Amino acid sequence: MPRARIICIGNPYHPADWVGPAVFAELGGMPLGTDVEVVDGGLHGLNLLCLLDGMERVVFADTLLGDDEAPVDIAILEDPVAGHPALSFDHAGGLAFLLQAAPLVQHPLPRMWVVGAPAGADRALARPIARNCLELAHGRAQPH
Amino acid sequence: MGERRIVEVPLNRVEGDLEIRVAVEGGRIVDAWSAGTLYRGFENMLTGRAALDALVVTPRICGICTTTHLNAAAKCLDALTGVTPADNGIRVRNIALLAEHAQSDVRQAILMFMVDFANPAYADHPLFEQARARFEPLRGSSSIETIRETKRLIEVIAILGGQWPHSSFMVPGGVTNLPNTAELTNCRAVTGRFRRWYEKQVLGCSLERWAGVDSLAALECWLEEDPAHADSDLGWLLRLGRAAGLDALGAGCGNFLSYGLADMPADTTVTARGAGPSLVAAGFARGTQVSAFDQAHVGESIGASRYEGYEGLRHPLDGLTRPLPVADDGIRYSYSKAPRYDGAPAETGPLAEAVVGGEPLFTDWVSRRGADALARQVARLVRPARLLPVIDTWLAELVARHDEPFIVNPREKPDGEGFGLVNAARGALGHWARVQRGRIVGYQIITPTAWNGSPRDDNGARGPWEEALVGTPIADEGNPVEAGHVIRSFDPCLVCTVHAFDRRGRGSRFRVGGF
Repeated sequence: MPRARIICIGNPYHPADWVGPAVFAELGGMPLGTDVEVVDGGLHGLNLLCLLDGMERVVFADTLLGDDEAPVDIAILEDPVAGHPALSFDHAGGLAFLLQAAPLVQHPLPRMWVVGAPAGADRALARPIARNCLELAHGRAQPH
Repeated sequence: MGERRIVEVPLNRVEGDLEIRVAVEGGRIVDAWSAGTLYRGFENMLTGRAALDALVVTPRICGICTTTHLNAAAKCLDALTGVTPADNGIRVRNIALLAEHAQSDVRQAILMFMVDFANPAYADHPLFEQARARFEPLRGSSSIETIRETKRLIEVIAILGGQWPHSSFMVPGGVTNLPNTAELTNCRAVTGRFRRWYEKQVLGCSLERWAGVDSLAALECWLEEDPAHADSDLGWLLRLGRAAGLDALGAGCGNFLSYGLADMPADTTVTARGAGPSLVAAGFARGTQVSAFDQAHVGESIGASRYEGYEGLRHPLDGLTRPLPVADDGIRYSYSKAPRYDGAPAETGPLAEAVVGGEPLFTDWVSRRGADALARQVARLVRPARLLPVIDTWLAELVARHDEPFIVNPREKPDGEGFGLVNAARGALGHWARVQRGRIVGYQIITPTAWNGSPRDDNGARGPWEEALVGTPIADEGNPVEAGHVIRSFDPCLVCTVHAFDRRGRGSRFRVGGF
């Protein structure tokens, strides 16, 4: 049984939302081991909550917004819940809603990270992002 | 008469892809314009692809109604291949659909609609503190319980679809995944638990007791009959909604459209409501006068839409989706087209479904008072009361008839013209396709929010929620909660978006969608 999941978020039909689908494709060619499962999360937000069940670690791969003035290649966000007091709770609440809802209803709560890159980043980063996700999922690496 | 002013209503909390402009005069909205701000383009994306690709591509249109888009695409392919699906395949499709509807209805009501009663605009109301304790986002008791319980209902779709998310189990002729009896029993346990929670928290009574509420007078008796009724989520909706005047807001265009929901298996103990081959009837109503539905009467106008290529109304099979890459000029102001039935705008959703289906409570409500924001929301919150028992019956029938086919393999390749119509949680969803030599040469999708949030048509007629906004009082233009109630009562969903994570903590989305 898997103890960790990598959930790749994004719309494969829109190029600017490339990170999750590209990471999903990269992970398809990597040995995952028996402890890790990879899921194409698509456009789902709160409906991915059930994928946290029974997990010790969950890594979300997604396109990142923000910090245009100080662009980064790859960002690894640990404890992403605490960093998101702002809340969108319409139909497109998405990952932020999920991350804030999870501690309220998910017991025990898995350790969670968000890993990604900006939409404008080099697509060759998909492979190192995938490797980062895998290391975190296996509990073999700390973000830095 | 006051000064007439144009106000941009900050409705981003309703939907980020939606912009509402209203003209306010004397503290009331006197005109309104609804604009979908982003071009979607799935129709053009499908052109040239193999017909079966629609089963994979169209569920990606929406992260909420994926199962319903899959169902519409599968029904369209049923028609294109000339196959009648196996009874068990129909049952599995229906159970997944109804589970998605029940989940969506409760989530929208508690997590998106009721939160407005925790708005500071109501701070002086005697029920405000209690309302906030119950419905404040991610803190209110009902809010948290709703997240917890609706999460489990997804398991039904996961089991029946063989995976979650992106279950692509519906295909022409039925379904590909054959759940075993243990899995079906598990589904019954999940829905049974949800039903008990729904009865206790949402209704405050049994489904059987609620089924006896068949008029506005009976609704009053029900509300006063037991403290548990008044203290249920439904009881709170009624009490808070009346206090906020929702029963006098948002009348709309007075026309109602339903495509029907859940095709009936040939042999079942479930009884269809109303005429027709589906559990929930298809039809078109002017007021409460219902007529038979014929998809040939559906047409789309682009008179006020940011598209080019034709004038007047076009049936979707003849439709064109050619976006105009120009700025909003005030005339062509939306990337939504304007769907019309027999040339008229029509609202769609749970209230429309109830009116078309002749449900006594809502027929009485609309015939006496007309539609309003409270009626729409009550219809949505109580719809699972009708669906949950049917889910259980069809699950039991699947167990009893497990040896019967789940799929009839089509003998013909998809070709010609076809359509798949079904009510999504938010209303009428249609897929129309033209296929030649196995390839899609035309695909048009009309979503529920395209109906409800449509712009004006070639004749200048407003869309349903544009019309519903007219007459709405606005006490504070900086916090137009009244307009929010009206729009949200239609359950707008423009979530054909891509999601991205904002690491600055200012949100969660990167949008590309439209209607």
